[in-house]
Amino acid sequence: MAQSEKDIKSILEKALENPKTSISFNLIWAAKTGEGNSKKIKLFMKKKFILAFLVSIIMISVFAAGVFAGYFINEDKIDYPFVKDRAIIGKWQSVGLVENIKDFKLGHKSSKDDLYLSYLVFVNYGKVLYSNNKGDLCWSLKWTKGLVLNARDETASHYEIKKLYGNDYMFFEWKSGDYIFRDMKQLYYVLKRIDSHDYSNLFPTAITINK
Amino acid sequence: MNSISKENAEMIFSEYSQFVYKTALFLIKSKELADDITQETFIKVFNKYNTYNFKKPMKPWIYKITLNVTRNTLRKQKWLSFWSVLPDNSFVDLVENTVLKSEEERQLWREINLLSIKSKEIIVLHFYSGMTLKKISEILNIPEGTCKSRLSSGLSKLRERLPKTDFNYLKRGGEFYGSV
Repeated sequence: MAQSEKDIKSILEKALENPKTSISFNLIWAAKTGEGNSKKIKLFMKKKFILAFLVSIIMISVFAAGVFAGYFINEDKIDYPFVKDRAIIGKWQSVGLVENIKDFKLGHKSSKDDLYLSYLVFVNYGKVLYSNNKGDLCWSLKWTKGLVLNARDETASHYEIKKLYGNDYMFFEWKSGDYIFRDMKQLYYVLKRIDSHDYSNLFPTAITINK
Repeated sequence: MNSISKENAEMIFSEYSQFVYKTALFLIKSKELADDITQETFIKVFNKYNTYNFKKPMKPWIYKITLNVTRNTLRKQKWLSFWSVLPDNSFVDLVENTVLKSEEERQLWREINLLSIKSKEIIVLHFYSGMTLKKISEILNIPEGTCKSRLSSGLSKLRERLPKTDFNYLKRGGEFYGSV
């Protein structure tokens, strides 16, 4: 045997010289013949059983979540034709969030932190510019008369414009995850008209929103 | 073919159990899991005894079962790591701190343990059990050339990681094959 082999062999022999298995022949023989009742065999089998049980539960849960998610998600019809609504065109600022439209009173107090939705800008031909309190702007929504359509979440939110105390206010159904996934009743954002300009030729970054 | 008698089984167990345990311990680094592997290996050996070819030596047959059980256990460990249910694997540190005396030995031990499981299988069978690469290739059911390349790859890694040591075998490299 070459010196090289002796060196590696020597290290392995030193490392593995002392360890000895604690498993006895009787234990294994009992397991083989089905007479095993020792604690060790039970523990061995128990560990396997627990692992198999956990894996099964996880797999069933993942499968069930996938199957049932489809039943519990609220999805609205969103393929409506575009119908003009001159009254909606312009910029609207969010001023409150209410459970019912009749709950809104002038001077309604809403913490700015509560209002995730900041502005909606409705432009001609069905586009909506949307901004939230984090400063994100996007064109992900569309509108048609009476509805704001969200293709990504598959929701259609009704809006209603009311003249209150000399100003235009929009009541806009807020269909968040609570509505989509947990089937809770939607709240209403209250938005006050800022102007009636048509922003359809502008990109989101060019629109001035004075907070 | 008759099933194994208790006397025969006890003889086989007393002859091979420590070797099986030590091989498993080297590969899996956990005493607890090495015990489990030893137990499962011998249950399989006894249950499959009627399929064993008596014209061939028993040691490679038992080692083949040992390696299969060890690989299955390693696969299960990957799943368990998701749940942080990992067994104690302090065997490597224990050997390093209490058994090996020189720094060179400790370094080599550490680096051997960092090799891939495929390289370690060849190393333990070749250097510890003293099997030829031809025999190992039969146990692992792979061509002898693959065995050589796995061993060579393991040794190359050791050479790269231990450039300052003066282990002769690391410098000479390919000389292994001449003596196998």
